[in-house]
Amino acid sequence: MQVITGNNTGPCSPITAQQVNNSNTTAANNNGSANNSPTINVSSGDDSQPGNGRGTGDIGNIKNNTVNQNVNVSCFNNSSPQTVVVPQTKTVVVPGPTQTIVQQAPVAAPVTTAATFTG
Amino acid sequence: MSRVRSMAIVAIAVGVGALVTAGCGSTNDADQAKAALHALAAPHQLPPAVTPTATPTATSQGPQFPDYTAAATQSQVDVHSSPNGPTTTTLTNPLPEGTPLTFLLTADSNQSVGGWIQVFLPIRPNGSTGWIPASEVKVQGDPYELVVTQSKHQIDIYHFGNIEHSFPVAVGAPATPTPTGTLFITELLKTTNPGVYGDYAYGLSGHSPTLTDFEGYDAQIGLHGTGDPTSIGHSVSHGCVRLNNADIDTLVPLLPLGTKVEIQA
Repeated sequence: MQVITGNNTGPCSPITAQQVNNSNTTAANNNGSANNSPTINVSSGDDSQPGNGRGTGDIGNIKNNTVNQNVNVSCFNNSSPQTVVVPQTKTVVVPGPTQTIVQQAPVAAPVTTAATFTG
Repeated sequence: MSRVRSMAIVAIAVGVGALVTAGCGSTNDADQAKAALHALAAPHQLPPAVTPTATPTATSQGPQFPDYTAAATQSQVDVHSSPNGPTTTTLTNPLPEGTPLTFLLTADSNQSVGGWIQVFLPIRPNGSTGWIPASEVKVQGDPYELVVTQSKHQIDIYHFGNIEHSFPVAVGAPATPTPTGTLFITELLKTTNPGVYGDYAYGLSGHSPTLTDFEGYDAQIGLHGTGDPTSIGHSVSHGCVRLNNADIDTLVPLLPLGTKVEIQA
């Protein structure tokens, strides 16, 4: 049996979830006269305050949502040596070769001709 | 690690990450996913493959022959120096006078090695061997063996290891000795020149160690009758083994082509 040992440190990027700043600003309408004209400042992360002036405008629902969330997920990253067993072909020795069944050779048939041996 | 297993591990890893990101996966779900990851990545031992190294053949039944012959089944046989080795010589079948080309196996069995068998060859030098494809011959058993003891001027005929006949013989003269070693019968002739060779003559696979040719032929050694019975019991031939005609007549109904002829000093 062949055993291969090694480190499994292949690239394993963390999975990151990130939501980009999503500004959703709507300016409040300030219609009509108002005793005061507040300055509506809209900035990142701040909630705007409704103006003091009376108006028919809708008060914008200003809300900045900033989500910056990093989620790291560890991939399976085993830094310790990992043993992988690679099976090898197992050789089975078959006893043999064994004899097979054979017939008896026939008697030689003579050929009529002149002999040319050394004599 | 197989490609399928790698893909599965990545898929599960992504799934675990997605659960955490969404914030909706429970701790138990994530743990189960991680457990699946570990199970896939853990060393996995597969059962070993089994490869037999040889194909078994049927066991033998019937008598165990002392020798085996190989009769060519094709018009020519290529002889190789080793199994799957280069061709060293090509022999034609049948012989010029029509006798089937036949060999004597070197091993005392009919086993083939990877489809090849080793045989004695009817060529110089005496005792030459080579490998031939088992598929090009028909192997058969031979119950007979002949042993010539030159010092005794005697030939013994063995049948399944037991002496069945013993006959006096003439052997080669000192200048033209009968070669020693393992030879085999290559042909049987009913001679048309009985005055020299008697009624019948067996051709053997050996050749004279001192003559390169004899009367225009290649000095092949024979086992034959004789028109000169007074030569029997003496070392007077040109290398052949001579028998009395009655004795050679006894052998003709018995011996197959390829029969071993062991010649001793």
